Amino acid sequence: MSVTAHAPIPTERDERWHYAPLDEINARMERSVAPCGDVPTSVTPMLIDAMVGATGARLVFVNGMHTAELSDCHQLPAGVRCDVSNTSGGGGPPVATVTVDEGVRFEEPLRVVHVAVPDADAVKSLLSRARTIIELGTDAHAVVVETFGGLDGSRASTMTESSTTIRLGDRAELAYYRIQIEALDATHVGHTLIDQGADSSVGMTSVTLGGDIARNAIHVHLDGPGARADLAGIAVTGGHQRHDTVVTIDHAASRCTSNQRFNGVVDDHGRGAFSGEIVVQPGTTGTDAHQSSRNLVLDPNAEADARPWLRILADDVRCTHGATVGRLDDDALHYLRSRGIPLVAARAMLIDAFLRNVTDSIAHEAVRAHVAALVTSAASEASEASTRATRPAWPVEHP
Amino acid sequence: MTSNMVEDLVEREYAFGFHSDVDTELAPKGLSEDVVRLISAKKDEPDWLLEWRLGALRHFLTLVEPKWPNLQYPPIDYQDMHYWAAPKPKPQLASLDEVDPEIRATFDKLGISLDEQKRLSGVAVDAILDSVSVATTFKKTLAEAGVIFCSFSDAVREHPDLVRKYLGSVVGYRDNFFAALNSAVFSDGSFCFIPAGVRCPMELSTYFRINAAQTGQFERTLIIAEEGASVSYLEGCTAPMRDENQLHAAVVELIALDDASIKYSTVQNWYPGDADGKGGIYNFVTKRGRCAGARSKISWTQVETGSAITWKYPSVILQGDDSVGEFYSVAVTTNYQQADTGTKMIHIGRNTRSTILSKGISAGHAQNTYRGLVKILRSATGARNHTRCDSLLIGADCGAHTFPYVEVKNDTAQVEHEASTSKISEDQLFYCRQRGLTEEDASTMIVNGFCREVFDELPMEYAVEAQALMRVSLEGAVG
Repeated sequence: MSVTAHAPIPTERDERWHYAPLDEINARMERSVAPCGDVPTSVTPMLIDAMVGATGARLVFVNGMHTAELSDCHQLPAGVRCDVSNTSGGGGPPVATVTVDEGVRFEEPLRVVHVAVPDADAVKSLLSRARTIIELGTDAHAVVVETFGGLDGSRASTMTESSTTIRLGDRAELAYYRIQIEALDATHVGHTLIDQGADSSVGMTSVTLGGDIARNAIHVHLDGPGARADLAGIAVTGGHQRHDTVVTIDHAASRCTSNQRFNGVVDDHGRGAFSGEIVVQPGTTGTDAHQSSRNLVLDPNAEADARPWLRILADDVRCTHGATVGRLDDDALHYLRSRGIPLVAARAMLIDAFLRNVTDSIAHEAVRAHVAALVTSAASEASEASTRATRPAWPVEHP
Repeated sequence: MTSNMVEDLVEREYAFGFHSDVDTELAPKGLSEDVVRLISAKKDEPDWLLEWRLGALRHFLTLVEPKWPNLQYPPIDYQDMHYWAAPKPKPQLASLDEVDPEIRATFDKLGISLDEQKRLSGVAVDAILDSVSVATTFKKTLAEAGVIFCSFSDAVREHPDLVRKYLGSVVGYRDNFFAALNSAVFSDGSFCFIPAGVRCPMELSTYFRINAAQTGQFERTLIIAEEGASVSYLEGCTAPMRDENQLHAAVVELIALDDASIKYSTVQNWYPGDADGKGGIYNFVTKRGRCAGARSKISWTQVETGSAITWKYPSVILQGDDSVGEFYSVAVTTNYQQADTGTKMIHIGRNTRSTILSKGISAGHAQNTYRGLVKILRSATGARNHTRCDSLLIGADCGAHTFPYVEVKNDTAQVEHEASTSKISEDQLFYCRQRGLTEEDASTMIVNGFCREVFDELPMEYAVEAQALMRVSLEGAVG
């Protein structure tokens, strides 16, 4: 198992938490209460359909509690299971388990949905815990979409603490999409741990749009020789949002390949951070690891931070990383505007293109369409917010 | 600090019966106000400087040694050290034949002239090339241009106002653990002042080579370039330096006013310890420049091949509008050497630009780390940074690490960072060997090519020596 699974409680001196407002997260956690009672009536099957953009097999949790009437896992083929198990002792949260047996290939997306709903009457925010375990046997193949959604608060907000553990057998293949679209006042602290067997491959795309404070930590442990991890992600950070994406890829075996592509857009007073770390353990050979972090700053008050790290303890490696921070290309903007496209739309187009660059590689068509819709609406919101805020780059257009 | 407190302290000193014995050759072990007072008294310093040292000491005593760098070394007992010793004259040797043959061989490989070899090893120099008289000529040229270049102690005596105005203005004693230590007990160092509009008539490196002084382990350098002035300064030497002090905590402060430019080059080849990692210098340095004026420029170039541990981040605070910061670095670690080095570029002024180019080479069991920060503050409209750091690994047991931080708070900034890590390309090696080069020659050639862009930034004569130095440093690591 990887080190992070046993990591001590983070402190502000912990480099992995460098850009996360740890004090604020702790304070919010202190102030939160565990949810109890029934599923709020506001959560309907239609709402879930809209949230995930599809029907089909799914496990639904509302405030950390499994909701059988919203879930649907009855028509799965042999060897594919979506279950809920309670951790021993009964004190822990229920765990969503997605299992695909040895040699089984299942192409349809399996969905795990966590919905955070604030308590309409309470002042305190609700703290829910989301636990998911995804296991693929040898030669298995699956597509899993995990969605973290939420409803806007009344007076109180929500806090979600999530942990997803993924284990891949030898030669297993998983496409995993993590979509976080919680309410804009929500707090989200997520952790994804991926353990890979020999020659297994994971393609993960993470979409971070929601949450007031949202931390998305991904730890990939390339444990078997020849394992491959392709990670992509986007984050759109506006308002007073703070998004922190932390990726660690641990090359513990030889001949492993990893690739990271993360694009971030910050506007308004948002603060987006990307920390990526490639670790190559001693004694490994034939490592190929790449990482790129591109960031777009749209507003004078926004902040983008990047921390692309390499920690390399073997010599037979090819590792590269690149990080850029900049604004929209004036030439491209001028080109679009000279063809009669209004400023807001032109900016939205460019932001959309910048983000789609990452999400267009999603292999599953329905998932790609759903993510594209999310990205386009996020891009147009970011464009509107930042066009209002920034001074025009050249004389204001005629009404 | 109030004057009452000062008086209290003065009285307490007497209460303990301490006498500053000016004839003492060695301060007692440990760090205390008494020791700081002794150092200050030895150097006949004014009261304000003593107070400054004491302030630094009091602050130092509240600090805990930082543990965040990617370095492994046994704990240092700061109370088990002598903080002042009378400068010892080097033993005079009758001829070069008495010099350690290993060192002589290195001198030859580096292509250092015989006269200079003699001077570096402390052989009595003959009358024809008297280094003292050459130094005097240089001093005259500098004085004619109005450049002040002297030891720090001399500067305190002769130009106290300048020293007082600028000392600690870039690296204050509250800056960090080692800066506080240095501020309390600094032994000596260099002071350089280029008045407005003066282009320093010579590379200060040239002067330095003739007049290499023993500055002790807590060196302090202060360079000020006034409006429109420019200077190129070289610290160190390609020749291997043996030194009995294991811990070196130096502070270098550069200040560039409007349109001024300072180029600071370092070639560091201190004793790195033996092949098993025993011994060697700990080089924990705080170097920072402040581009205080508009259109000013500060450029750091460093070639780090020595020291068991190198821990330093020559940085630039880009305060003036349109100011420029540069950092070019080659860090070579072999055997059990460790380096955690890089830079910080803090963009404050408008249209400030910075370039970072770092080349790390790691061989044997060494660990080489680049750590850098590029920070664009809200006020730095139109700021621009380009960073490239490449690492080369030679051997399976070494490590190369890259820890950059990019923090951008301005939407008009453009920041790019790129890095790569790999071993010497088999194809390149094969190509060279095909043409009859030995594996070692081929590797050295490739490594020199890898470092080329940084060597180009060095003053010419050092660029040549740096290439030779690279070969000497990597001897046995390749092939």
